[in-house]
Amino acid sequence: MDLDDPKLDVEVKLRRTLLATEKWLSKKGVLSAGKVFTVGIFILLVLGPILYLLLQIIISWKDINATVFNDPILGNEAFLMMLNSIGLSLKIAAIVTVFDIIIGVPIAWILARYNFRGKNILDTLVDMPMAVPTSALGFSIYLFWGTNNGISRIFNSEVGLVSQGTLLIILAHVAFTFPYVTRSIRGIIADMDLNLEKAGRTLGASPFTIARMISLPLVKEGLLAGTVLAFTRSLGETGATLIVSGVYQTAPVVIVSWMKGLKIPTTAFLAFILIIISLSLLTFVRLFARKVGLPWSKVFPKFERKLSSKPVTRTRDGLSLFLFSAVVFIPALFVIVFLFQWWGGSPFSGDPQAGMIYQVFQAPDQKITDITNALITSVEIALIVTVVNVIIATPMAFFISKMKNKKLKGFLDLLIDIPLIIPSSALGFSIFFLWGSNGMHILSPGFMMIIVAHVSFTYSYCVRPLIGSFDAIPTMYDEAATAFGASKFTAFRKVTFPFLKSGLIAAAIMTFTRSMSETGATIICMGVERTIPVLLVDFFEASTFPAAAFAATILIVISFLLLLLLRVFTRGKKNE
Amino acid sequence: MVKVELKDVTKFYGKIRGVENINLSISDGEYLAVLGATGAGKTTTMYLLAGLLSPSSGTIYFDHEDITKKPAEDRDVGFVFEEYNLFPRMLVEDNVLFGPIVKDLDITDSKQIARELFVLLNIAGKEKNFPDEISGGQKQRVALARAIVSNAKLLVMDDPLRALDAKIREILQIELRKLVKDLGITCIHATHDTQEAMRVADRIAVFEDGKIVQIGSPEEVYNHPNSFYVADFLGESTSMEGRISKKKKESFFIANNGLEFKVKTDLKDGEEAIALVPAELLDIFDVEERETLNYDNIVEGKILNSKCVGEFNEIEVMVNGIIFKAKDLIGKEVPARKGSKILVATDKDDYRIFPKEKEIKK
Repeated sequence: MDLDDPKLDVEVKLRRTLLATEKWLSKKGVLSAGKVFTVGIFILLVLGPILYLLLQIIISWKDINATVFNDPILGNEAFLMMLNSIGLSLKIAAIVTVFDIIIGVPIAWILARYNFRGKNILDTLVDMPMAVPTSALGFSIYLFWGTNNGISRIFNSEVGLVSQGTLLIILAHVAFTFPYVTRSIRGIIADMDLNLEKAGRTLGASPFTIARMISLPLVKEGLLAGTVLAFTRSLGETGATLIVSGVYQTAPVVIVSWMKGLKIPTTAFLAFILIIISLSLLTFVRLFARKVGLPWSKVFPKFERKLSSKPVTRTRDGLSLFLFSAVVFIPALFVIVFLFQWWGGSPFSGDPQAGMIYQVFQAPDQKITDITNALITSVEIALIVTVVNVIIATPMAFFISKMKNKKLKGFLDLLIDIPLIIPSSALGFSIFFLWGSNGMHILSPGFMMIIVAHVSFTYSYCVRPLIGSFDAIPTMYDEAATAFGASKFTAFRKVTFPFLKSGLIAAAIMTFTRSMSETGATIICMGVERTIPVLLVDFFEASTFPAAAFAATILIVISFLLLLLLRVFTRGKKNE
Repeated sequence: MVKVELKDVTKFYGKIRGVENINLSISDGEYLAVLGATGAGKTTTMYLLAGLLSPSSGTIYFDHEDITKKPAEDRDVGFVFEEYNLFPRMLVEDNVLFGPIVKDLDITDSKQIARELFVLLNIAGKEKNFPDEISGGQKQRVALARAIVSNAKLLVMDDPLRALDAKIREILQIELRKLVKDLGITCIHATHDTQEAMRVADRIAVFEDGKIVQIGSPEEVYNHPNSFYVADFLGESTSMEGRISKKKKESFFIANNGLEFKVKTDLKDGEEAIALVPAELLDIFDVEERETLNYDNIVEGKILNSKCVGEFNEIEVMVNGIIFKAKDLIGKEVPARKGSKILVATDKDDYRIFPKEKEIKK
């Protein structure tokens, strides 16, 4: 029938046009073009900057050689500083990972196996450090350990218990990286077949031996993946580290400070090294996770039996819960206590000008305007980033999920994880490098560049859960719809999409949260714009702690709400 | 290897009864089958023996030693699960040697035992496979080997053959009994399948609703079921209500529809009763053969249904409003056509008579 037939009413016309468009979109050629476009966007936004950085390192090796190794004045000073900072970062990341395992594994076990009142609350609290901006978290932890407001009050000390430096960095990093370990194995432990453990017991193994020989091999891959994530997060973290590091400079902090001094070639080289380290770790885990054997096949029945005894297990559970509260929970939320302490004035001198109310609302520099502006900027950026990412990630996730070539699928899957593991400051720098004046010269640091950077590093957070959702949708519905004459696109809209809703919302909230809380890449790409986590760092550097505490509390509340929202949607999905 | 005794063992899951007042004694080297429907308390009993559950009250003895409080890992009970529970990331060989390793037994010895068992159980050559690479029957054989190699004094099997095909199940029933008897190990085997219990065990304990209702040799339990429940559980049967009538020294069962059968019973004259006759004890004959037959009871009926199920025909015969279910061996010349007339012949021993006041559960 002719579409221009005047007798047809508008609605029918619209529907027909839509169906016709979808039919056109479902043509083989158009679909292939769509695939190419999807992968193209991915390469341009996510891989492009990194590849360009690698390329530039090779092309302008002479420049780098001259500034990094043979500077006329400093010699190889820059390189030594790089090595130092990388060494420090690796050392910290290694120690942090050990602590993450010590706290994270028992907590995962407790959450998966025990039933107790308040389990849901503990569950949310464990996830929270992943959602709260690290700069807010770092600030709170600094207040708790490093100033005379927190723990030192118990000891009646005038100064903080832990001064800025390596130990404080470790404390801060443990707080926001251990959830990666807990998360990665919690589900696996919960789904584990308890009968295997029963079988182990009847064969004479004590609970500890069973956990080690039977359960551990089953969670091995998840644990390894979580550990690598925790390690790389610690290695690449900027926001919290800027606050707690003091004079000690980890590699990402060095990137940020060199970037501020516009030392482009040296920054490029350091970013390059960090990226290489992270990529090697990721590749190694992906390739060998299944093959890594577990040492200690020897069993020490008596000793392990002692480890399984009730007093020991109770002590262990108690200790991990204690560590969780002492290292994570209390320090991470201490900023709220601090805010109330300094609400109207200094709790020590009573000076109202040192209080939050004065600093934020009454002081001549009108911090409340800065905070409001930064908050608006943050939300605007996060919203745009979320929309863009959902649009470009959905086809990619669909594409990967439906891919038949296993090797290619595995490879793409690996590529997707890249933004997840490389330090965001290094990623931010690559984006600055590619899009800014040193590369394509399309953007200068500012609002747009922040968006590009955020799209890039939140990409994985968006694609990952969507791949999971697509994998979970049975293809038969899709096939049935096609058999009834629907074009592929119509089938997708009508059949697949409704299944996807909760997954999409989860992915969107994840992306939004990550974008809201990022610091490292934002500092590099921001120009004069300020997002709220960055503003927090500024306040901290200006020593206006009560104002910083005000901003941090706002951030914590927002992320907490987002997290609750996320739980509502992911919970709904589980019940299906 | 070990004598097992349960004294007044009771297990409640909150308010739900698992088993109640279980008293059971299993002698050294005996093969006991625990027979019961789903939910009768078989698994609970098996778990209590293995220490995977602890009783709410009562005591369990192994060789007169009270082991009620002993944890599972110290009991030396080899447990074979219905769903095998082989460790997925371990080779078959490592699965089997898991027990000796965690118990710190002599590995060279254990390897030798394992090797012999693998040959006996017909799974030699599968040592280097992963559990998901072998068939269900092979998996259960591995699980059995694993339980035995762990130095088990008592073998506890919780419906071990349930998940297997009928044919493999039968083969394994015979293998199981032979192996257990060769090893001289004490063994408890839970099953819901009467034939399986009869085939493997020295004695059978029948469970109903968390209690033992009868215990005895397969012949005893089959020929002299002590309750309607047991008789009914053992297999396909026909049951009818009526009363007992004594004439001269003989007992008769008069069904409510008027049919009269010569039976054997201790019940008194006039007592209300229930009679049950197993399907395989009913004999079916052509009407013309009547004169040649020598049976206590012969009645005439009409074939309602006849179905060949392999070894026998399942025949339903309507006699005066009662449907008799018969299993008749194939090969006998009997009219199998629907509606044809036929004779149902029984001896007085074929009837199991129970007093009626006992509540009937079906």
